[in-house]
Amino acid sequence: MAYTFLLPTLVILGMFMFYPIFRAFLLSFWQYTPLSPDNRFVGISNYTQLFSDAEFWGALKNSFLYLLVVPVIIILSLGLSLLVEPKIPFINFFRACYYLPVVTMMVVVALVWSKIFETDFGLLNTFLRRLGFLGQNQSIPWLTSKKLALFTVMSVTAWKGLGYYMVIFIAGLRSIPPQLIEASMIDGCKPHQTLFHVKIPMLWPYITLVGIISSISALQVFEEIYIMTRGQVGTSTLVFHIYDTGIWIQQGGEQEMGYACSMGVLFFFIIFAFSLLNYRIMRRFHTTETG
Amino acid sequence: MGLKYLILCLLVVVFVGPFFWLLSVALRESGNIYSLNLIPENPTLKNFSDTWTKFNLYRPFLNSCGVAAATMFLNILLCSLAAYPLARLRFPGRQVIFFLILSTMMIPFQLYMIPLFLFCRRIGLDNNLLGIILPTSVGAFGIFLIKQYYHTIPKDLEEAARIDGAGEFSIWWRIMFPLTKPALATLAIFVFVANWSNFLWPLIIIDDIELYTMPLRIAKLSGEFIEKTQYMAAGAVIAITPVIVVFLILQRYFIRGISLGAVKG
Amino acid sequence: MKIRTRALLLLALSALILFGCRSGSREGGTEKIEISFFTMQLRPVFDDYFNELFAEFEKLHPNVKIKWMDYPAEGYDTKLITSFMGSDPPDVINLTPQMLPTFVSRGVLQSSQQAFPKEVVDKYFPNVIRDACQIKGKTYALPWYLATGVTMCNMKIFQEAGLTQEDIPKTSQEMKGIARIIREKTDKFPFFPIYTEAGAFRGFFISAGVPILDENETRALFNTPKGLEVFKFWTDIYKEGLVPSEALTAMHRRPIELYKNGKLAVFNSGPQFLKHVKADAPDVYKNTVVRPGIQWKDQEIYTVDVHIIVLSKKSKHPELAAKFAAFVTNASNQLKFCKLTTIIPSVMEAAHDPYFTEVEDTPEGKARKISAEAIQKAIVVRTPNKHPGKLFREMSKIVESVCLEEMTAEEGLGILEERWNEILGE
Repeated sequence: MAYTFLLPTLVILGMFMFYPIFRAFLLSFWQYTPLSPDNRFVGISNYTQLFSDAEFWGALKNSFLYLLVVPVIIILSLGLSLLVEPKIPFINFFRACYYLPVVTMMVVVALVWSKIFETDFGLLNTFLRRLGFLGQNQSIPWLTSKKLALFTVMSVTAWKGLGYYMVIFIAGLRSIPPQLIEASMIDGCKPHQTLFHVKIPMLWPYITLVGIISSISALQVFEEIYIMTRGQVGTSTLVFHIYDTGIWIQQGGEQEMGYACSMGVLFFFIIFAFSLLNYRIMRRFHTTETG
Repeated sequence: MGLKYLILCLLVVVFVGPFFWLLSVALRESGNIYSLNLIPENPTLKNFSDTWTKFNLYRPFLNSCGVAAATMFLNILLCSLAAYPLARLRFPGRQVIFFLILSTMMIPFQLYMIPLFLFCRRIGLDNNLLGIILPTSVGAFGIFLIKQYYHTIPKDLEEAARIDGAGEFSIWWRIMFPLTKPALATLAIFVFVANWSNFLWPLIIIDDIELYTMPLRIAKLSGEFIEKTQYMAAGAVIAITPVIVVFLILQRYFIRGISLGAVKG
Repeated sequence: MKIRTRALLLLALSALILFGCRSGSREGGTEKIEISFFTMQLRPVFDDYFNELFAEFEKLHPNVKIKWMDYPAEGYDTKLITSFMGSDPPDVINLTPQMLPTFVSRGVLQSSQQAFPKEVVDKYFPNVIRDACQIKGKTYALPWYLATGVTMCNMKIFQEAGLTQEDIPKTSQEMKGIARIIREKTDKFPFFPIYTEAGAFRGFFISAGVPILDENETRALFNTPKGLEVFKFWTDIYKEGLVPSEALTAMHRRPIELYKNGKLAVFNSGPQFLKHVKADAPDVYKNTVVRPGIQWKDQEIYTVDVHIIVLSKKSKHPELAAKFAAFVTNASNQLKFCKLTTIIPSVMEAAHDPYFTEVEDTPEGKARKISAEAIQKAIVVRTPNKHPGKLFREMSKIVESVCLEEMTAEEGLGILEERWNEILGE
């Protein structure tokens, strides 16, 4: 009887998830391009090719570099939550404002910020010139310099996500028993001491949660890169590279799906490791909550 | 205290400012899009009407609405269905199924997106809106969200119904399902918003410009109208307004969704 | 209950929308033979022209019906591949020479004598046939419409920098000098070459007469003293800041916006963009002067963009498809097409028509004459047959590195040659 309830779900998950997952592993041992007469089984040669593929390693390195955005997100969203948690007048308005980027499409966000970060005529550089930080014909190459571009894109990811993590931290702050705060005040602690010695330790489960969620998100970014730089100027990350290798066809793209699947498999192992960590933390978190 | 409000207001500029700039560009006539004046001299709605009618922006708008709504309903239905036996019934293989569904949360979409594309093409779902809807019509997040909520419902109602001889399905349909309305509302909002801004999978599966969802169309619009930023801006504003409106009205559910989803697991 | 009825209504509405949106191929339940014609971004502007053309062909072949399918340029190749994999592949297809190798390598295009008989092929400009339609000596396509680049100058910016029409550069070297002056005296940009989109840098080599690949496409030939001179010239221009920094990553349509906003002094492109400028930025159009494309030193090389027509191997009616392809690209149809927009025909007979030799005295008229005259000397930048994507990516990365001063031009060119030879040897 129970299985009738579960049937539609299992069918859909089976067809659209488990079967493709199985095929992804299979396909990673093939050389496969749609319509090509050369498709054939190649064993582990895709994987060995990965080892010497400079572009792949570049994308992998960038994906891990992207994780640098996590501590930034944690600190900034924690700061935001501390700012907006107390119930002062109009605070709901401010919270809604900071949360606004979270609900807008990344496509639009990326388009707006690429216009703002445009090197020669973009809003930011024009603004900086007006304020005198830049000379008449000077520009900061936000999206056109290999040193800066990836970090510029990362800042957009951070900007969009801060509100989301801010809300998590607000929940966390609310979960701290007020007696603890009062006790520390009575003991004569100054506000920043209360912050560092009481609030943050109590928030630790939330901090690790935000850390893991934002890490998994950071590893999976796609739209930002697709829209802002199309993977050039040293911004290609794993997901983008998989798409570029396996699906992208313009300008001579060869749709090497087998090869892209082998990258996908590697990507899976990375994400799986993080997700497992996530699960452990959430489990412990849940028992801490209810225990 | 005044300082605090000053900081809060500056932050509003940081988070909302870019959208104001977007709106300002969308209201500008042809000419200089690079000027720093946020208030355009001759504001015009022409860019909006042009993109809506000349470039048929109503099509991707309707597509996105349809896809998001359909996915939302399917999720509500199927996740509730699936969560019920996991929450309430004893049956062989329960642990296995539970584990299977849980495992899907740890598998990234990017692993199997290419074979999924090939499979959808084989069964004719490529270049078809159902190709976006069906693969995302049910998910572990929704199942666990509803399951969590089922646990909070006291068992007496079910027991009473069982004693009266009601079948499992009518117990679910008449008692359990209606009682989960708050969770369903949260799930609905979550699925709708996630689906509305979904980009990568629709990008892979849809070719025809008539079937594009809003995010795809906006991205292409920026490529087509790389010469006319005002059009891209107008299109972008049209794209994000519905969700912003929904968000403003239903803030509670959004916020609750995060706490439930992220925190309670 | 209110929620439930509302929900049901929404469900019904979304179902309706979905079914309305399903792209369906109409079942053609006709006894007529259907020839499907796939084109790139021609609707709705040229609807009348094409409907007339189809009607004429159908009059000559009463048992035939042309099914026209037009798609936007972006994602065109994806759409085409999907069509080939489906059950109803197209018969006659509009392509560009840049896409040709992809489809030839997947073995889906015709190249037989029957498809492209000598009497038909001889009517077109031989250089266009050789560069745009042939791979390894076999003809895979008939050429269609072309555009060459012309130079458009915004005289207002020139005046602001104290320059006159006399100073309009004819060569890249002159351009560099003018660029320095404009950059110094104004806050606008002198010009906006494209550096990395789809191997765009090859255009610089070709314009200077530096060959890229050998006949058999096994070796890279650009690492010569002349090639180095070209490589250095353009990367130095970037390093000196004479072009916008986004030139490194921008796509070829980006300069149009800048030109229309009055921020770009010189703009090289096909003459069809003059129309956009006229419509969207009339004051800039007023100040625009048109000249032939800028050359390298004393060369006279014109690169053209061309569209071609290919035939599918899977076509059920190959002879009719071939006849239709020849019909679309014949002299009178091409001439009619060219009168609708600023493009040039690839058929020799049509290109010598007075429409192109006796022109009116406007920027558009002049542009037309210049373009038509340039065709005979024009070169189509060929796409390599093997692994073009990889080759272009390597080139983009090296160009990026040199422009961003991570390596010298000599190093860069040497490494690029090595990498290309590796890829070509695969």
